[in-house]
Amino acid sequence: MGDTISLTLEVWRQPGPLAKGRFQTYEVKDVSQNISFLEMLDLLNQRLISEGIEPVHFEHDCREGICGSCGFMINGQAHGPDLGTTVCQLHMRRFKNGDHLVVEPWRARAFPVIRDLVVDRASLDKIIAAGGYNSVNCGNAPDANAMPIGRDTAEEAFDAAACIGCGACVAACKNASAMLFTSAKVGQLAMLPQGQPERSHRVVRMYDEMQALGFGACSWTQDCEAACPKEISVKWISRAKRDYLKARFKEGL
Amino acid sequence: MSWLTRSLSSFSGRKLLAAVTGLVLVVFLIIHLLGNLQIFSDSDAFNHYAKALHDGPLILLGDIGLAITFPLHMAMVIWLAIDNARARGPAGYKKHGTKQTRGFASVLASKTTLYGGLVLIAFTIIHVWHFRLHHEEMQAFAAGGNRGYVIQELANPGWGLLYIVGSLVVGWHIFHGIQASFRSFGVNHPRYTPLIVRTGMGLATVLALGFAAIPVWILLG
Ligand code: SF4
Ligand code: FES
Repeated sequence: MGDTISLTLEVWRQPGPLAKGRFQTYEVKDVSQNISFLEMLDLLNQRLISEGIEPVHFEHDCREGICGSCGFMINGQAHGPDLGTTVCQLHMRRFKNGDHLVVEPWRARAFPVIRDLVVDRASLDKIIAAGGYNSVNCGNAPDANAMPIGRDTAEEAFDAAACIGCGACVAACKNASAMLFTSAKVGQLAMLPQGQPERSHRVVRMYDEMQALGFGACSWTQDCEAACPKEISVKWISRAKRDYLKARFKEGL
Repeated sequence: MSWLTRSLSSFSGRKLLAAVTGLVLVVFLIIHLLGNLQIFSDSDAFNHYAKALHDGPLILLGDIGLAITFPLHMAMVIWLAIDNARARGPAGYKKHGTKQTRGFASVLASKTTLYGGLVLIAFTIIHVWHFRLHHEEMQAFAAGGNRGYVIQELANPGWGLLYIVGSLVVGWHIFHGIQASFRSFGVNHPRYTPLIVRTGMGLATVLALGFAAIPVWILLG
């Protein structure tokens, strides 16, 4: 049933938010290439527990790439080396026997480390709270086709809505900018009729909140798009930026 | 904070100012290069051009324009860079990587635009002192006026090399800068964006090679 490999892991260990962290090296032997990266960490943790050592903390929930809980850096790559993949969907067959992997948490001032590989991404929620919603009461679900939205528009809005809020875009960006996340959340609503009434206020509030939370600005390096497990395009940044400039300089918000 | 300061100090506002001033500076570079290229002509074309430039109103316009755009561009970018550097937080990464599949040059250029810019600040100060502030001397230079003066200076390997480096750095800086400016305006189009990206890179390459050609040609005699 597939090959087994052995790896050296250099993992960031930090007992608490204020504690000093450091890298700890672990050898993992005879890992099946059919298991996922998180399952490999589960095996390591099982061993650590049996040795009386505190296991490596990492965040996870669905383990099927849809919740956005998981995520850390593997050798400088957000969610590991695969494109369009969360780390829970990354499999050990992607690695070779003897690989040395540096595993570290997302690094951003707005994402303080809680423990080991777990960071606090509440700042993304604060960006949503600043305007990433419709404040009108939409009533019950409308009849299908009662609201004329073209298929391409609906599909495109869904492309942006596919963002799972994992924070990989922030982690991969040299400026720790949340522009991709914020712009996707702005964009999904800006595509649809329900989003129009608050469109300008929304983008101003969300962009300004992002800046106030201590994320960086966009330098167009496009590392975010490459790191995003949902392959959200940087075109959403251009679009939201245009909305922002229009709201600020044309409408005078 | 008033509406204007709030808008202009937002990331997108600062980016907008940096982009507008950056593109104005690119237009200046194009005009500058077209003027410079006349040095290749043996006739008095370069000297006539220099004289006409300095006698007419264009030089004042250029000086004022540059005195506004250059510092504004610098200020906006450095202000952004400070916030960007702070955003990573107290601990950085041990290992750096990327998942980009774009060309190596594009990715590297996009991450080093700022450093190119910092080099250009020093280069511009030297360059303005070297030629612009020696204008009277150049005009009155016995062995060939302006053209002779430039050739004499750049024939010095130290100066020649500095100008070659300066030319390449300015090209590198705008290699990413041109397309980034358009993106900062919110330009996004399935057809025109790739066109802008390619035109920007092409223009950057032409400008770099064009400017560098002059010291190279002089150094080679
Ligand atoms: S834009 Fe992509 S990388 Fe960023 S939070 Fe959303 S899913 Fe994650
Ligand atoms: S655990 Fe849900 S996306 Fe990875």
